[in-house]
Amino acid sequence: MNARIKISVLLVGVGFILAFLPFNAAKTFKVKPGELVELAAASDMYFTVDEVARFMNNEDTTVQLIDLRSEVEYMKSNIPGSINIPFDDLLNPNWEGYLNQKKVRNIYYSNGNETANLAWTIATGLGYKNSFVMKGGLNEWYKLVMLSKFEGERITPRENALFENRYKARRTFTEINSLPDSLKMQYLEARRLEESQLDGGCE
Amino acid sequence: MGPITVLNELPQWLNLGIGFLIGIGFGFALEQAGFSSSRKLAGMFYGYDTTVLKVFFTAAIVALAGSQLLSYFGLLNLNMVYVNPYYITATLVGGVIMGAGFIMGGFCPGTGISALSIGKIDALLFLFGGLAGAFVFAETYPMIQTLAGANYKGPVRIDEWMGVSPGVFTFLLIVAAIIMFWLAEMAEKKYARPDITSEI
Amino acid sequence: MIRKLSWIIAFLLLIVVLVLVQTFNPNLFKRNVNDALKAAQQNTVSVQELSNINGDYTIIEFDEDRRFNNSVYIPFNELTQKENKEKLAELKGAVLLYSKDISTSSKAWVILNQLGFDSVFILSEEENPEVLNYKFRPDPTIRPE
Repeated sequence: MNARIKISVLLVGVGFILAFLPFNAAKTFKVKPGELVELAAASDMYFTVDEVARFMNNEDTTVQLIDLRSEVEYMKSNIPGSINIPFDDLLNPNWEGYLNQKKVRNIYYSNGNETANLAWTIATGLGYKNSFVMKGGLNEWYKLVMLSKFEGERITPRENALFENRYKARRTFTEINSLPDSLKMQYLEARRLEESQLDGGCE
Repeated sequence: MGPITVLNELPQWLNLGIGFLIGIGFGFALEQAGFSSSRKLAGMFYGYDTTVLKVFFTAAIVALAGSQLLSYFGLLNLNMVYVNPYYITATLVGGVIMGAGFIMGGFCPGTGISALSIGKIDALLFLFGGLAGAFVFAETYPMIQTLAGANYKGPVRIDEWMGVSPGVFTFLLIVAAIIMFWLAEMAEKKYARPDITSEI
Repeated sequence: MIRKLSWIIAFLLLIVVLVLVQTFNPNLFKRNVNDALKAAQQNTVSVQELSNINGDYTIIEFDEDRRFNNSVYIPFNELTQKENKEKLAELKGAVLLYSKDISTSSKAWVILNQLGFDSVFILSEEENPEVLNYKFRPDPTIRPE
Protein backbone atom coordinates (compact mmCIF):
# COMPACT_ATOMS: atom_id res chain seq x y z
CA MET A 1 0.00 0.00 0.00
CA ASN A 2 1.62 3.23 -1.00
CA ALA A 3 1.94 6.43 0.93
CA ARG A 4 -0.48 8.42 -1.13
CA ILE A 5 -3.35 6.07 -0.30
CA LYS A 6 -2.49 6.27 3.39
CA ILE A 7 -2.42 10.07 3.29
CA SER A 8 -5.69 10.12 1.35
CA VAL A 9 -7.35 7.90 3.96
CA LEU A 10 -6.04 10.12 6.74
CA LEU A 11 -7.26 13.33 5.14
CA VAL A 12 -10.67 11.94 4.23
CA GLY A 13 -10.99 10.60 7.79
CA VAL A 14 -10.18 13.98 9.33
CA GLY A 15 -12.54 15.68 6.90
CA PHE A 16 -15.28 13.21 7.79
CA ILE A 17 -14.90 14.01 11.49
CA LEU A 18 -14.90 17.74 10.73
CA ALA A 19 -18.10 17.43 8.73
CA PHE A 20 -19.95 16.42 11.90
CA LEU A 21 -18.63 19.17 14.14
CA PRO A 22 -20.99 21.99 14.93
CA PHE A 23 -19.10 25.00 13.63
CA ASN A 24 -21.76 27.49 14.43
CA ALA A 25 -20.43 30.88 13.56
CA ALA A 26 -21.84 31.69 16.99
CA LYS A 27 -19.50 33.08 19.55
CA THR A 28 -19.01 31.16 22.76
CA PHE A 29 -17.09 32.09 25.90
CA LYS A 30 -13.39 31.30 25.66
CA VAL A 31 -12.62 31.62 29.36
CA LYS A 32 -13.41 28.62 31.56
CA PRO A 33 -16.27 29.03 34.09
CA GLY A 34 -14.01 28.79 37.13
CA GLU A 35 -11.57 31.36 35.75
CA LEU A 36 -14.37 33.75 34.85
CA VAL A 37 -15.76 33.58 38.39
CA GLU A 38 -12.30 34.28 39.73
CA LEU A 39 -11.86 37.32 37.47
CA ALA A 40 -15.36 38.54 38.36
CA ALA A 41 -14.75 38.21 42.10
CA ALA A 42 -11.61 40.34 41.97
CA SER A 43 -12.14 43.94 43.02
CA ASP A 44 -9.62 45.35 40.53
CA MET A 45 -12.22 45.18 37.75
CA TYR A 46 -13.74 48.41 39.06
CA PHE A 47 -12.82 52.05 38.72
CA THR A 48 -14.51 54.64 40.92
CA VAL A 49 -16.14 57.68 39.37
CA ASP A 50 -13.37 59.82 40.85
CA GLU A 51 -10.75 57.76 39.05
CA VAL A 52 -12.71 58.05 35.81
CA ALA A 53 -13.01 61.81 36.34
CA ARG A 54 -9.24 61.98 36.70
CA PHE A 55 -8.72 59.99 33.48
CA MET A 56 -11.05 62.40 31.73
CA ASN A 57 -9.35 65.50 33.12
CA ASN A 58 -5.94 64.22 32.11
CA GLU A 59 -7.27 63.15 28.69
CA ASP A 60 -5.65 59.81 29.42
CA THR A 61 -5.24 58.01 26.09
CA THR A 62 -4.67 54.62 27.72
CA VAL A 63 -8.33 54.58 28.72
CA GLN A 64 -11.44 54.18 26.58
CA LEU A 65 -14.85 54.80 28.13
CA ILE A 66 -17.68 52.77 26.65
CA ASP A 67 -21.23 54.02 27.10
CA LEU A 68 -23.64 51.07 26.94
CA ARG A 69 -26.89 53.06 26.87
CA SER A 70 -29.11 53.75 23.90
CA GLU A 71 -28.07 56.36 21.37
CA VAL A 72 -30.82 58.72 22.55
CA GLU A 73 -29.62 58.65 26.13
CA TYR A 74 -26.03 58.95 24.97
CA MET A 75 -26.75 62.08 22.96
CA LYS A 76 -28.48 63.71 25.92
CA SER A 77 -25.40 63.47 28.08
CA ASN A 78 -22.31 61.31 28.18
CA ILE A 79 -18.90 61.39 29.73
CA PRO A 80 -16.68 63.31 27.28
CA GLY A 81 -14.34 60.96 25.44
CA SER A 82 -16.67 57.98 25.65
CA ILE A 83 -17.90 56.02 22.65
CA ASN A 84 -21.44 54.70 22.40
CA ILE A 85 -21.83 50.93 22.05
CA PRO A 86 -25.45 50.15 23.02
CA PHE A 87 -25.63 46.97 25.10
CA ASP A 88 -27.95 45.25 22.58
CA ASP A 89 -25.35 45.87 19.88
CA LEU A 90 -22.38 44.65 21.92
CA LEU A 91 -21.63 41.62 19.72
CA ASN A 92 -21.78 43.52 16.43
CA PRO A 93 -18.47 42.66 14.69
CA ASN A 94 -17.98 46.38 13.96
CA TRP A 95 -17.08 46.93 17.60
CA GLU A 96 -14.68 44.03 17.92
CA GLY A 97 -11.71 46.26 17.10
CA TYR A 98 -12.57 48.47 20.07
CA LEU A 99 -13.47 45.74 22.54
CA ASN A 100 -10.94 43.01 21.78
CA GLN A 101 -7.58 44.71 22.04
CA LYS A 102 -4.66 45.08 24.36
CA LYS A 103 -3.71 48.71 23.91
CA VAL A 104 -6.15 50.59 26.13
CA ARG A 105 -8.24 49.87 29.20
CA ASN A 106 -11.93 49.73 28.31
CA ILE A 107 -14.19 51.06 31.05
CA TYR A 108 -17.86 50.14 30.63
CA TYR A 109 -20.59 52.26 32.12
CA SER A 110 -24.35 52.59 32.00
CA ASN A 111 -26.84 54.37 34.23
CA GLY A 112 -26.59 51.83 37.04
CA ASN A 113 -24.48 48.82 37.86
CA GLU A 114 -26.44 46.09 36.14
CA THR A 115 -25.88 46.61 32.42
CA ALA A 116 -22.21 47.49 32.80
CA ASN A 117 -21.55 44.30 34.74
CA LEU A 118 -23.48 42.20 32.23
CA ALA A 119 -21.38 43.68 29.44
CA TRP A 120 -18.16 43.24 31.44
CA THR A 121 -18.90 39.56 32.05
CA ILE A 122 -19.69 38.97 28.37
CA ALA A 123 -16.54 40.79 27.20
CA THR A 124 -14.32 39.07 29.73
CA GLY A 125 -15.91 35.68 29.04
CA LEU A 126 -15.11 36.14 25.35
CA GLY A 127 -11.49 36.57 26.39
CA TYR A 128 -11.31 40.33 25.82
CA LYS A 129 -8.56 41.67 28.01
CA ASN A 130 -8.48 45.08 29.67
CA SER A 131 -12.17 45.29 30.58
CA PHE A 132 -13.30 47.33 33.56
CA VAL A 133 -16.49 48.77 35.01
CA MET A 134 -17.14 52.26 36.34
CA LYS A 135 -18.63 51.41 39.70
CA GLY A 136 -22.06 52.93 40.27
CA GLY A 137 -22.53 54.11 36.70
CA LEU A 138 -23.80 57.54 35.72
CA ASN A 139 -26.06 57.74 38.78
CA GLU A 140 -22.95 57.64 40.97
CA TRP A 141 -21.21 60.07 38.60
CA TYR A 142 -24.03 62.60 38.97
CA LYS A 143 -24.16 62.12 42.72
CA LEU A 144 -20.43 62.54 43.35
CA VAL A 145 -18.91 64.41 40.43
CA MET A 146 -21.77 66.66 39.36
CA LEU A 147 -23.60 67.45 42.57
CA SER A 148 -21.41 66.88 45.61
CA LYS A 149 -20.30 69.88 47.65
CA PHE A 150 -17.65 70.07 50.26
CA GLU A 151 -19.25 70.61 53.63
CA GLY A 152 -17.10 71.24 56.64
CA GLU A 153 -14.88 73.73 58.32
CA ARG A 154 -11.38 72.87 57.26
CA ILE A 155 -10.44 71.12 54.07
CA THR A 156 -7.55 68.68 54.10
CA PRO A 157 -5.13 68.66 51.16
CA ARG A 158 -6.49 65.27 50.12
CA GLU A 159 -10.08 66.45 50.07
CA ASN A 160 -8.98 69.55 48.27
CA ALA A 161 -7.41 67.52 45.49
CA LEU A 162 -10.51 65.32 45.30
CA PHE A 163 -12.87 68.24 44.92
CA GLU A 164 -10.67 70.08 42.48
CA ASN A 165 -10.71 66.97 40.32
CA ARG A 166 -14.51 66.75 40.59
CA TYR A 167 -15.05 70.43 39.80
CA LYS A 168 -12.83 70.25 36.77
CA ALA A 169 -14.65 67.15 35.49
CA ARG A 170 -17.98 68.82 36.20
CA ARG A 171 -16.99 71.80 34.09
CA THR A 172 -15.84 69.69 31.10
CA PHE A 173 -18.92 67.47 31.33
CA THR A 174 -21.26 70.45 31.32
CA GLU A 175 -19.39 72.26 28.57
CA ILE A 176 -19.24 69.37 26.12
CA ASN A 177 -22.78 68.19 26.78
CA SER A 178 -24.22 71.70 26.44
CA LEU A 179 -23.01 71.93 22.86
CA PRO A 180 -25.73 71.71 20.21
CA ASP A 181 -26.20 68.19 18.82
CA SER A 182 -24.53 68.91 15.48
CA LEU A 183 -21.31 70.11 17.13
CA LYS A 184 -21.40 67.21 19.56
CA MET A 185 -21.54 64.84 16.59
CA GLN A 186 -18.56 66.57 15.00
CA TYR A 187 -16.59 66.17 18.20
CA LEU A 188 -17.45 62.45 18.35
CA GLU A 189 -16.66 61.88 14.67
CA ALA A 190 -13.25 63.46 15.11
CA ARG A 191 -12.48 61.06 17.93
CA ARG A 192 -13.67 58.11 15.91
CA LEU A 193 -11.35 59.01 13.03
CA GLU A 194 -8.41 59.03 15.40
CA GLU A 195 -9.33 55.60 16.64
CA SER A 196 -10.21 53.96 13.34
CA GLN A 197 -6.53 53.11 13.01
CA LEU A 198 -7.14 50.32 15.53
CA ASP A 199 -8.37 47.89 12.89
CA GLY A 200 -5.81 46.27 10.69
CA GLY A 201 -5.50 43.80 7.88
CA CYS A 202 -2.42 42.44 6.25
CA GLU A 203 -2.27 44.41 3.09
CA MET B 1 -3.96 31.23 21.70
CA GLY B 2 -3.78 31.86 18.00
CA PRO B 3 -3.31 33.66 15.69
CA ILE B 4 -0.07 34.18 17.58
CA THR B 5 1.13 37.43 16.04
CA VAL B 6 -2.27 39.15 16.21
CA LEU B 7 -3.06 38.24 19.79
CA ASN B 8 0.31 38.74 21.39
CA GLU B 9 1.44 42.02 19.86
CA LEU B 10 4.90 40.65 19.27
CA PRO B 11 7.69 43.13 18.68
CA GLN B 12 8.42 43.83 15.04
CA TRP B 13 11.74 41.95 14.96
CA LEU B 14 10.13 38.79 16.36
CA ASN B 15 7.27 39.03 13.90
CA LEU B 16 9.70 39.34 11.03
CA GLY B 17 11.89 36.61 12.54
CA ILE B 18 8.98 34.17 12.59
CA GLY B 19 8.25 35.10 8.98
CA PHE B 20 11.91 34.48 8.13
CA LEU B 21 11.89 30.98 9.66
CA ILE B 22 8.63 30.00 7.98
CA GLY B 23 10.00 31.40 4.72
CA ILE B 24 13.10 29.21 4.96
CA GLY B 25 10.90 26.17 5.56
CA PHE B 26 8.68 27.08 2.63
CA GLY B 27 11.59 27.62 0.27
CA PHE B 28 13.22 24.38 1.37
CA ALA B 29 9.99 22.44 0.78
CA LEU B 30 9.55 24.00 -2.65
CA GLU B 31 13.05 23.13 -3.71
CA GLN B 32 12.80 19.59 -2.35
CA ALA B 33 9.51 19.03 -4.15
CA GLY B 34 11.39 19.76 -7.36
CA PHE B 35 9.72 23.08 -8.02
CA SER B 36 12.95 24.74 -8.93
CA SER B 37 12.74 22.92 -12.27
CA SER B 38 10.64 24.63 -14.89
CA ARG B 39 10.18 21.28 -16.62
CA LYS B 40 8.17 20.16 -13.62
CA LEU B 41 6.13 23.33 -13.48
CA ALA B 42 5.39 23.33 -17.19
CA GLY B 43 4.41 19.67 -16.85
CA MET B 44 1.25 20.79 -15.16
CA PHE B 45 0.25 22.61 -18.34
CA TYR B 46 1.08 19.78 -20.72
CA GLY B 47 -0.16 17.05 -18.39
CA TYR B 48 2.96 14.89 -18.10
CA ASP B 49 3.73 15.95 -14.53
CA THR B 50 1.05 17.10 -12.10
CA THR B 51 3.21 17.44 -9.00
CA VAL B 52 2.37 21.13 -8.75
CA LEU B 53 -1.33 20.44 -8.45
CA LYS B 54 -0.81 17.65 -5.95
CA VAL B 55 1.61 19.53 -3.71
CA PHE B 56 -0.26 22.82 -3.57
CA PHE B 57 -3.67 21.24 -3.16
CA THR B 58 -2.41 18.87 -0.47
CA ALA B 59 -0.95 21.84 1.38
CA ALA B 60 -4.27 23.64 1.11
CA ILE B 61 -6.41 20.79 2.43
CA VAL B 62 -3.97 19.95 5.23
CA ALA B 63 -3.96 23.59 6.34
CA LEU B 64 -7.74 23.74 6.05
CA ALA B 65 -8.36 20.60 8.11
CA GLY B 66 -5.71 21.58 10.64
CA SER B 67 -7.02 25.09 11.20
CA GLN B 68 -10.59 23.78 11.59
CA LEU B 69 -9.46 21.28 14.21
CA LEU B 70 -7.43 23.89 16.10
CA SER B 71 -10.38 26.25 16.03
CA TYR B 72 -12.71 23.55 17.39
CA PHE B 73 -10.38 22.98 20.32
CA GLY B 74 -10.28 26.71 20.96
CA LEU B 75 -6.60 27.06 20.06
CA LEU B 76 -7.10 29.28 17.04
CA ASN B 77 -9.61 32.07 16.62
CA LEU B 78 -10.59 31.84 12.96
CA ASN B 79 -12.60 35.04 13.22
CA MET B 80 -9.32 36.89 13.53
CA VAL B 81 -7.65 35.23 10.57
CA TYR B 82 -7.44 37.59 7.64
CA VAL B 83 -9.62 36.68 4.65
CA ASN B 84 -8.52 38.13 1.33
CA PRO B 85 -11.18 40.36 -0.21
CA TYR B 86 -12.58 39.18 -3.51
CA TYR B 87 -12.41 41.40 -6.61
CA ILE B 88 -13.98 39.33 -9.40
CA THR B 89 -12.68 41.25 -12.44
CA ALA B 90 -9.20 41.71 -11.06
CA THR B 91 -9.02 38.01 -10.18
CA LEU B 92 -10.00 36.95 -13.70
CA VAL B 93 -7.65 39.34 -15.49
CA GLY B 94 -4.83 38.74 -13.06
CA GLY B 95 -5.30 34.99 -13.31
CA VAL B 96 -4.94 35.05 -17.09
CA ILE B 97 -1.80 37.22 -16.93
CA MET B 98 -0.31 35.10 -14.15
CA GLY B 99 -1.08 31.84 -16.01
CA ALA B 100 0.43 33.13 -19.24
CA GLY B 101 3.55 34.26 -17.43
CA PHE B 102 3.71 30.97 -15.57
CA ILE B 103 3.76 28.81 -18.70
CA MET B 104 6.01 31.14 -20.71
CA GLY B 105 8.52 31.69 -17.94
CA GLY B 106 8.31 28.25 -16.41
CA PHE B 107 8.10 29.50 -12.83
CA CYS B 108 5.65 31.07 -10.48
CA PRO B 109 7.04 33.91 -8.35
CA GLY B 110 7.82 31.74 -5.33
CA THR B 111 9.43 28.92 -7.27
CA GLY B 112 11.34 31.51 -9.28
CA ILE B 113 13.14 32.58 -6.12
CA SER B 114 13.61 28.95 -5.17
CA ALA B 115 15.23 28.29 -8.55
CA LEU B 116 17.39 31.41 -8.33
CA SER B 117 18.72 30.19 -5.00
CA ILE B 118 20.16 27.09 -6.69
CA GLY B 119 21.75 29.29 -9.32
CA LYS B 120 19.46 29.20 -12.33
CA ILE B 121 20.07 32.08 -14.72
CA ASP B 122 16.64 31.83 -16.38
CA ALA B 123 15.09 32.32 -12.94
CA LEU B 124 17.12 35.49 -12.47
CA LEU B 125 15.73 36.92 -15.71
CA PHE B 126 12.25 35.71 -14.76
CA LEU B 127 12.43 37.63 -11.49
CA PHE B 128 13.65 40.77 -13.26
CA GLY B 129 10.61 40.45 -15.50
CA GLY B 130 8.37 40.08 -12.46
CA LEU B 131 9.85 43.16 -10.80
CA ALA B 132 9.49 45.15 -14.02
CA GLY B 133 5.84 44.09 -14.17
CA ALA B 134 5.29 45.21 -10.57
CA PHE B 135 6.90 48.55 -11.42
CA VAL B 136 4.70 49.04 -14.48
CA PHE B 137 1.62 48.06 -12.46
CA ALA B 138 2.42 50.57 -9.73
CA GLU B 139 3.13 53.35 -12.22
CA THR B 140 -0.02 52.77 -14.28
CA TYR B 141 -2.24 52.04 -11.28
CA PRO B 142 -4.25 55.29 -11.58
CA MET B 143 -5.21 54.24 -15.12
CA ILE B 144 -6.35 50.72 -14.22
CA GLN B 145 -7.81 51.62 -10.83
CA THR B 146 -11.42 51.15 -11.94
CA LEU B 147 -10.62 47.73 -13.38
CA ALA B 148 -8.70 46.66 -10.26
CA GLY B 149 -11.53 47.63 -7.94
CA ALA B 150 -14.44 46.40 -10.07
CA ASN B 151 -16.99 43.88 -8.78
CA TYR B 152 -15.78 44.00 -5.22
CA LYS B 153 -17.35 41.28 -3.09
CA GLY B 154 -15.55 41.80 0.21
CA PRO B 155 -13.96 39.01 2.22
CA VAL B 156 -16.35 36.20 1.23
CA ARG B 157 -15.86 32.53 2.06
CA ILE B 158 -17.07 29.67 -0.13
CA ASP B 159 -18.74 27.78 2.74
CA GLU B 160 -20.80 30.87 3.61
CA TRP B 161 -21.73 31.32 -0.04
CA MET B 162 -22.76 27.64 -0.28
CA GLY B 163 -24.56 27.78 3.04
CA VAL B 164 -22.83 24.75 4.57
CA SER B 165 -20.76 24.50 7.73
CA PRO B 166 -16.98 24.95 7.35
CA GLY B 167 -16.51 21.31 8.39
CA VAL B 168 -18.76 19.99 5.61
CA PHE B 169 -17.03 22.23 3.09
CA THR B 170 -13.63 20.94 4.23
CA PHE B 171 -14.81 17.36 3.79
CA LEU B 172 -16.18 18.07 0.31
CA LEU B 173 -12.98 19.79 -0.73
CA ILE B 174 -10.80 16.92 0.51
CA VAL B 175 -12.89 14.39 -1.42
CA ALA B 176 -12.79 16.60 -4.52
CA ALA B 177 -9.02 17.01 -4.17
CA ILE B 178 -8.43 13.27 -3.92
CA ILE B 179 -10.57 12.59 -6.99
CA MET B 180 -8.59 15.31 -8.76
CA PHE B 181 -5.27 13.74 -7.73
CA TRP B 182 -6.43 10.40 -9.08
CA LEU B 183 -7.43 11.98 -12.41
CA ALA B 184 -4.12 13.84 -12.48
CA GLU B 185 -2.16 10.62 -12.14
CA MET B 186 -4.19 9.09 -14.98
CA ALA B 187 -3.28 12.13 -17.08
CA GLU B 188 0.38 11.68 -16.17
CA LYS B 189 0.26 8.18 -17.66
CA LYS B 190 -1.59 9.29 -20.76
CA TYR B 191 0.61 12.29 -21.58
CA ALA B 192 3.85 10.73 -20.36
CA ARG B 193 6.95 12.29 -21.92
CA PRO B 194 9.84 9.90 -21.29
CA ASP B 195 12.12 12.23 -23.22
CA ILE B 196 11.88 14.88 -20.51
CA THR B 197 14.23 14.06 -17.69
CA SER B 198 13.52 15.01 -14.14
CA GLU B 199 17.14 16.02 -13.64
CA ILE B 200 17.88 19.60 -12.98
CA MET C 1 -5.18 -3.79 4.72
CA ILE C 2 -6.40 -2.79 8.18
CA ARG C 3 -2.99 -3.60 9.64
CA LYS C 4 -1.25 -1.36 7.18
CA LEU C 5 -3.57 1.46 8.08
CA SER C 6 -3.32 0.85 11.83
CA TRP C 7 -1.36 4.05 12.55
CA ILE C 8 -3.79 6.13 10.63
CA ILE C 9 -6.81 4.56 12.27
CA ALA C 10 -5.22 5.08 15.69
CA PHE C 11 -4.64 8.75 14.87
CA LEU C 12 -8.21 9.24 13.68
CA LEU C 13 -9.55 7.55 16.81
CA LEU C 14 -7.42 9.89 18.93
CA ILE C 15 -9.00 12.87 17.19
CA VAL C 16 -12.48 11.41 17.71
CA VAL C 17 -11.77 10.93 21.43
CA LEU C 18 -10.43 14.49 21.77
CA VAL C 19 -13.46 15.85 19.93
CA LEU C 20 -15.83 13.92 22.19
CA VAL C 21 -14.00 15.12 25.31
CA GLN C 22 -14.23 18.69 24.06
CA THR C 23 -17.90 18.37 23.12
CA PHE C 24 -19.06 16.88 26.41
CA ASN C 25 -16.71 18.69 28.78
CA PRO C 26 -18.98 20.16 31.48
CA ASN C 27 -16.29 22.60 32.47
CA LEU C 28 -16.64 24.78 29.41
CA PHE C 29 -19.10 27.37 28.18
CA LYS C 30 -20.85 26.18 25.04
CA ARG C 31 -23.80 28.45 24.67
CA ASN C 32 -24.11 31.14 22.04
CA VAL C 33 -23.26 34.50 23.60
CA ASN C 34 -26.13 36.06 21.64
CA ASP C 35 -28.52 34.11 23.87
CA ALA C 36 -27.31 36.12 26.84
CA LEU C 37 -27.88 39.40 25.02
CA LYS C 38 -31.39 38.32 24.03
CA ALA C 39 -32.33 36.99 27.45
CA ALA C 40 -30.95 40.13 29.08
CA GLN C 41 -33.87 42.11 27.65
CA GLN C 42 -36.05 40.65 30.38
CA ASN C 43 -33.92 39.39 33.18
CA THR C 44 -34.69 41.66 36.10
CA VAL C 45 -37.36 41.33 38.77
CA SER C 46 -37.59 43.91 41.50
CA VAL C 47 -38.24 43.12 45.15
CA GLN C 48 -41.55 44.96 44.90
CA GLU C 49 -42.71 42.61 42.15
CA LEU C 50 -41.98 39.48 44.19
CA SER C 51 -45.57 39.10 45.36
CA ASN C 52 -46.82 39.12 41.75
CA ILE C 53 -44.89 36.02 40.83
CA ASN C 54 -47.14 33.03 40.46
CA GLY C 55 -45.46 29.68 40.57
CA ASP C 56 -42.40 28.42 42.36
CA TYR C 57 -39.29 30.44 42.76
CA THR C 58 -36.12 30.21 44.78
CA ILE C 59 -33.94 33.10 45.84
CA ILE C 60 -30.19 32.58 45.69
CA GLU C 61 -28.23 34.98 47.89
CA PHE C 62 -24.56 35.75 47.42
CA ASP C 63 -24.06 37.70 50.66
CA GLU C 64 -23.44 35.90 53.90
CA ASP C 65 -25.93 37.92 55.94
CA ARG C 66 -29.17 37.07 54.28
CA ARG C 67 -32.03 39.36 53.49
CA PHE C 68 -34.69 36.77 52.72
CA ASN C 69 -35.91 33.80 54.71
CA ASN C 70 -35.79 30.40 53.03
CA SER C 71 -33.25 31.59 50.48
CA VAL C 72 -30.25 29.54 49.42
CA TYR C 73 -26.80 30.93 50.14
CA ILE C 74 -24.08 30.34 47.55
CA PRO C 75 -20.83 32.31 47.85
CA PHE C 76 -20.19 33.96 44.50
CA ASN C 77 -16.68 32.56 44.10
CA GLU C 78 -18.02 29.02 44.49
CA LEU C 79 -20.78 29.53 41.92
CA THR C 80 -19.42 27.14 39.31
CA GLN C 81 -18.44 24.35 41.69
CA LYS C 82 -19.99 21.04 40.84
CA GLU C 83 -22.24 20.68 43.90
CA ASN C 84 -23.59 24.22 43.47
CA LYS C 85 -24.37 23.65 39.82
CA GLU C 86 -26.18 20.45 40.75
CA LYS C 87 -28.07 22.28 43.47
CA LEU C 88 -29.17 24.90 40.96
CA ALA C 89 -30.19 22.30 38.41
CA GLU C 90 -32.48 20.60 40.94
CA LEU C 91 -34.43 23.77 41.74
CA LYS C 92 -37.93 23.99 40.33
CA GLY C 93 -39.33 27.18 38.89
CA ALA C 94 -37.64 30.51 38.58
CA VAL C 95 -34.27 31.21 40.17
CA LEU C 96 -33.82 34.75 41.49
CA LEU C 97 -30.29 35.97 42.13
CA TYR C 98 -29.89 38.49 44.89
CA SER C 99 -26.94 40.40 46.25
CA LYS C 100 -26.76 43.74 48.00
CA ASP C 101 -24.66 45.08 45.19
CA ILE C 102 -26.47 44.24 41.97
CA SER C 103 -23.07 43.91 40.24
CA THR C 104 -22.50 40.46 41.74
CA SER C 105 -25.87 39.06 40.73
CA SER C 106 -25.48 40.55 37.23
CA LYS C 107 -22.17 38.80 36.73
CA ALA C 108 -23.58 35.57 38.14
CA TRP C 109 -26.55 35.86 35.78
CA VAL C 110 -24.35 35.95 32.67
CA ILE C 111 -22.27 33.02 33.91
CA LEU C 112 -25.35 30.90 34.69
CA ASN C 113 -26.99 31.85 31.39
CA GLN C 114 -23.91 30.75 29.47
CA LEU C 115 -23.77 27.51 31.45
CA GLY C 116 -27.23 26.75 30.08
CA PHE C 117 -29.49 27.74 32.98
CA ASP C 118 -32.75 29.29 31.82
CA SER C 119 -35.43 31.07 33.86
CA VAL C 120 -32.79 32.76 35.98
CA PHE C 121 -33.49 36.36 36.96
CA ILE C 122 -31.75 39.17 38.76
CA LEU C 123 -33.62 40.29 41.86
CA SER C 124 -33.11 44.01 42.21
CA GLU C 125 -33.70 46.29 45.16
CA GLU C 126 -34.85 49.16 42.96
CA GLU C 127 -37.83 49.13 40.65
CA ASN C 128 -35.64 49.77 37.65
CA PRO C 129 -31.90 49.80 38.39
CA GLU C 130 -30.99 51.13 34.96
CA VAL C 131 -32.80 54.46 35.08
CA LEU C 132 -30.89 57.72 35.27
CA ASN C 133 -32.11 59.38 38.46
CA TYR C 134 -30.73 62.75 37.49
CA LYS C 135 -31.33 65.08 34.63
CA PHE C 136 -28.60 66.88 32.80
CA ARG C 137 -29.06 70.65 32.82
CA PRO C 138 -27.26 72.24 29.88
CA ASP C 139 -25.48 75.47 30.64
CA PRO C 140 -27.09 78.05 28.28
CA THR C 141 -24.11 80.39 28.57
CA ILE C 142 -21.80 77.94 26.78
CA ARG C 143 -20.97 79.14 23.28
CA PRO C 144 -19.09 77.05 20.77
CA GLU C 145 -15.87 78.81 19.85
